[in-house]
Amino acid sequence: MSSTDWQRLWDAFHRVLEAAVENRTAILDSLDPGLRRQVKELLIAHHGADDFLAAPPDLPTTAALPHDTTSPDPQEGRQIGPYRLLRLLGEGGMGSVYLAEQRTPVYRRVAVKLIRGAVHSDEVLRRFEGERQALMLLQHPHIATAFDAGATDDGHPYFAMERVPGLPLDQYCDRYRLPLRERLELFLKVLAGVHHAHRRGIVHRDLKPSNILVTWIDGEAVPKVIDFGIAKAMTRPWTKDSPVTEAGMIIGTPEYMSPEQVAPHGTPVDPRSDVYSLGVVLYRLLVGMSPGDWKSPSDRIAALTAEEANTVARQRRATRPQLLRQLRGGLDTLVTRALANDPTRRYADAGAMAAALSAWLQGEPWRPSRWRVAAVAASLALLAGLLLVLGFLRPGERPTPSQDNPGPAVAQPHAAGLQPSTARTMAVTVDDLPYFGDGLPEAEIHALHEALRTTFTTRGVPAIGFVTESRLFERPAQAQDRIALLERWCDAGLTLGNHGYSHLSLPTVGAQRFTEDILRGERITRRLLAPRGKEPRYFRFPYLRTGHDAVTRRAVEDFLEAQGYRNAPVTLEAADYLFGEAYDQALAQGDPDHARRIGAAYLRFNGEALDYWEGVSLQVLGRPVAHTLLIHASRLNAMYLDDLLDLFTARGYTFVTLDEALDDPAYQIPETYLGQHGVSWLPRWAQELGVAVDWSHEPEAQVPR
Amino acid sequence: MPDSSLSSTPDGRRSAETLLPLIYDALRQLARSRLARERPGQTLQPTALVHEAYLRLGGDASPAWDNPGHFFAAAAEAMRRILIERARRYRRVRHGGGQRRTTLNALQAGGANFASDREELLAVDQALTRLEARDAVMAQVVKMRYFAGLTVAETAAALETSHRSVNRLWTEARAWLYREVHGTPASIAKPPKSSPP
Repeated sequence: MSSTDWQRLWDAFHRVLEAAVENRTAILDSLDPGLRRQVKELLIAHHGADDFLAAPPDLPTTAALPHDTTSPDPQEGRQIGPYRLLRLLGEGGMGSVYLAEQRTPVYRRVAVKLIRGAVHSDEVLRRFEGERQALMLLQHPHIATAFDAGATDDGHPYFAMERVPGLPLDQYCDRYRLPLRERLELFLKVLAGVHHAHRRGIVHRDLKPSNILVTWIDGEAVPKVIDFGIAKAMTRPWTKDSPVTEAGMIIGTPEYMSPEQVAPHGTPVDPRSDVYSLGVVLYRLLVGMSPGDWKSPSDRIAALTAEEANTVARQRRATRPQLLRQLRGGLDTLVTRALANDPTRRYADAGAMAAALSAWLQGEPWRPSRWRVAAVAASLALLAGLLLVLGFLRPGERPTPSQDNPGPAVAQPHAAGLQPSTARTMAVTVDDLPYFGDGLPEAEIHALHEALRTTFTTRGVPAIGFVTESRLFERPAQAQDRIALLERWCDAGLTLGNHGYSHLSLPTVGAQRFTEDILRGERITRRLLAPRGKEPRYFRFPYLRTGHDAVTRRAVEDFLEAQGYRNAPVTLEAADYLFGEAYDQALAQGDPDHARRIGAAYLRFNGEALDYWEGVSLQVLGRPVAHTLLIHASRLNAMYLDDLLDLFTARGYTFVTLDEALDDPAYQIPETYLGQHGVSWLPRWAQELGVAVDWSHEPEAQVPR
Repeated sequence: MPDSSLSSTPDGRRSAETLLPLIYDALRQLARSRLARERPGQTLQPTALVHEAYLRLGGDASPAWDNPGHFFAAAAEAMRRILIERARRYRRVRHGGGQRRTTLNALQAGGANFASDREELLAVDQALTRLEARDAVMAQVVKMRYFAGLTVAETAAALETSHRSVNRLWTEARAWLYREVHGTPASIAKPPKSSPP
């Protein structure tokens, strides 16, 4: 079209537009046919374009997090011995505990306790060395393994030990309102761990709830005693001094310390000191208070007002009389004996205490079902009400992801009532392999993959990576490199699957191109897997469940069937794309502190999202769902994947292969599950977390009102 | 072809092109710092950014441009690049790498499938590139009005032309772009702009 034609077109356009409506047809008819058609089209477009381009596009804020006043921790990133400190997990009387990473000789993440203040690290280390051999012999499921001790360049001692993601014992019991019996069963495991040490002549010296963390292993709550050996290394031998270090720090927590520890009179500390501390811990688990002046737990309850006592009892899912009955029937005696002032009157060690407790548990006649039965007899209506209550108050089974991380409190709006009793499984899938970072250097992309692979292989998580062919072909020059990355995935024993062409939906690109692209990706995946004797069996068309229209859905289903693939839709998204971008940006802006906050928010978000989906699955399906989790190979995950996995572990999830997940009847989810809920939780949680995101690309992600 | 001091005088064009990198950087920085401070859930209006950048870079007294028109021409182009860059980035990073999702109502409307305003934005940008080849001034009006959010009066002042011309060009541009983006009228019912209530 020449510029004259262009001008003629618009002249005619305006002539028609400015004419009275009844004259328009005549004017249009007077134009030559080619021009007429064009003008007509433009006029119709003009009328359709009311609010088209009416307002400038908004510039959406990305994940901008609310300001947080925590100051940067100067220790982060510091290399101490073989460990690199990643972030602060918590602070205690003696020092700070960091999550750290060890790269050689094995890759692992550990907890490093850095001792504060002026201490003679030589002496501390010498004492630790003295017991090191014995400590290394402690191998027990209820004891966190001690790895190492050393001194930093500036002379502070540090201790490296197994990292235990979990809650302190008392908090765990209270948060999940465990009945007495369940508390005692957990406590019995603690005793077993301590007994293991006592038999090897090792005394803990600083037993207290915060040194007993409850984590989850294979769906079971497992308490682990941490910090074995540290208190001893930190204190002078028991000759004539007090339990005070050269720096004037009191080692141990007075409330939990035995009389001989608090006011030493030459009595050597032996396992009976630990028994005393364990007695205080037990006392607290029973009645929620420390012994104080009252020596027996039941006396302590009896001394409370009825209201206070009922609160304590309810916290243990019992009534006041029930609680008193349990305490008086043997537990009083047990606790009083552990708390005897004179060590010789206490249990000789944790083993003896365990035997007494175990006998009590076996002989204890009371069963929680008894009062439920009574309720049935009382009235059917009451029964209905009661069952409802019971349903909502099913014993808590999962600790929160906060573990040893004192970070932001974890809100659990859905947690209290909605807890399935069966084991939870999750298959981890990594989408968009290989990841084309936004301008990331090639070396970094390799490093990201390395980090993910390492985490998966060291933890034994059978993750599966999905190859996205569009990613491979976006930049053909790099395709060989990308394929090399995928080969390393395979060699690390991880599985590859095939991924739906992700950039355009079927109606946009047409069935032919859609299929061609998929087949192209398939060829690559097959080529990689063939020498390893495998073939791709999975296919993911990510939004088959939520976002697509019937036409696309049908076409994809036909395709899957024809190709013999298993479809593996996602049930959980870590939403790392959301936080990942903000994380990258914070790093790019040289603000690691902000990046750390984003990392913390990422974990918190996932904890809450999990609550949400568990709530939905119980409300909609009345049962839990076997989850398939979607993550990406991003910088964020290179740093936080380990924590993310911990979070799921702490909720009682075990990681399974994709096949196991797909075969699990719990994976069978009707349309209603996601159909009704979509991803509507995303903006709400993002909002609550103060992460602002533009959701316009997520039709389903409407913020609930 | 209508005349304009900006596109037809070699000086004006050169100015705008030299200014572009400067303004682009200023806008990006400004956007970044604003976005970081903005309360969650807020968005930024390009208009505000463009005006603030103008003042920051020296306003009327700046030696970098001969007149505000040169600034706004360059700012409009810079803003366009920033918005498009962002939209592309979003498309890449989100989810499994930017699957375009199709809303059912867009399908039912029988027109093009825009999962979101963002997709529309990208489509408008492509059409605008085609328009630029045909009519640079009309395209300039779109950049100023749409991407930089300038008013008709500001656009007219920047292009040193009348309000009436700007209005006329704006009407033409919207009709033309709408047709390019949403297809030929034969198949258009009026596409839904927003999600159902």
